[in-house]
Amino acid sequence: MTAARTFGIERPVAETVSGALETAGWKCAGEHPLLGMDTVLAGLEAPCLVVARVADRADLGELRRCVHLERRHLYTAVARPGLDGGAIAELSLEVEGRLVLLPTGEAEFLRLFRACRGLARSRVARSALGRGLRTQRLSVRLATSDVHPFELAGYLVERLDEGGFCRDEESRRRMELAVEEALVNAVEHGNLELSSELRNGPGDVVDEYEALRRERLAQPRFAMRAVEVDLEIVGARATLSITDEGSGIDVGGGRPMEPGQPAGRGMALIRRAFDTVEHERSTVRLGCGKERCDAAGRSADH
Amino acid sequence: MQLDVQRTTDRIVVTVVGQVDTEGGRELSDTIGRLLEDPGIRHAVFNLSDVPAMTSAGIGKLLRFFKHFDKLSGTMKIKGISAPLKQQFLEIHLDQIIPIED
Repeated sequence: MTAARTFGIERPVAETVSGALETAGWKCAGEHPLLGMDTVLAGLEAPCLVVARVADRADLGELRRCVHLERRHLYTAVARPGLDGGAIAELSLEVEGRLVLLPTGEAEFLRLFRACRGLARSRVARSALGRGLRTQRLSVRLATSDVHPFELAGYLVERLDEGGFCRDEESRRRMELAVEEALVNAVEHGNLELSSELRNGPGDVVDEYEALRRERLAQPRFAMRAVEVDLEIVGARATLSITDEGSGIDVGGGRPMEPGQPAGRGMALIRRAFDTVEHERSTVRLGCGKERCDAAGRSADH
Repeated sequence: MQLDVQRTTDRIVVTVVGQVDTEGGRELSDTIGRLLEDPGIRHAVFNLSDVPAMTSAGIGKLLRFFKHFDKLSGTMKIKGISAPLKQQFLEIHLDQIIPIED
């Protein structure tokens, strides 16, 4: 990552920011006169350092949108003096620290941009490590009550991404969603033995499923059941196995789904993200492969 | 995930920002579910322009909301949807149930 782009920063701050960026080793480009930040960022082939002005809630909303939709970039924000810094801090927490609030002053800009430069270099190094990765094995065993599907899925797909198994941002997003679905299946349908048919019942909007879920999570005999996750990378093939201690999830057995049925779409979301999906009693195995090239550019798929 | 709900007479406009994960789906259900206890609300518009993806639990909640409004002879639609989320909905044929406008 060598490029930086600024959005909405007016003189004289713009000159200070550009100067600090160039000194810290970034190639700086300004904004497009007609296109919005989200359009510009989506159109970039390579990730970049984003330096955006935040003067009001509208700017904050636009930045939030970009940070959520275009995750490959590094984000920094120049806040107008007097703007609620707490709002930007909240956004930073919301996006797991992927947004940095820039301080005022040239020296501080320079220090921070150099730090961003270091971060960008480490990302490039990790990417190279991932391309050269031959084998990796990761095994985790957690009690049901300790499984946080969204966070755990993010961690596991980060390992897959490092190994080069995510083609692009969209592919990564699909994998995260799919792994989260598989973990929720293991926890809720496996260990907590909750039937998705409860969600398809004629009940009210706030359904019985959630009440039963909370009730079972409070019972040790359910909550202490384990979920085991194994991630194995061998060559150009990755397999993610998730095993619960329930009696075997009913994945629909090929029954056709009613069009308006609230529950049952999880498997469809899993299958759209992984090359292979296999079930064996209480274990689901998600497989994906990739074409990897060694340093000489030859295919190393084996 | 962030949720903003605006109400006018018999209608709510719900703007969701951020990925709707499993916890987000529950929050959606709790917040909107409480509002829908009022039978005076008969129409809903969901703005999902800033939602990159949604779990099956979140999708299930949308479908339950849709069934709720359908029972009241009201309406529910999605007005504003991000490109990746629209792709996800098309692949699971959700557009055949809930009206979607870009």
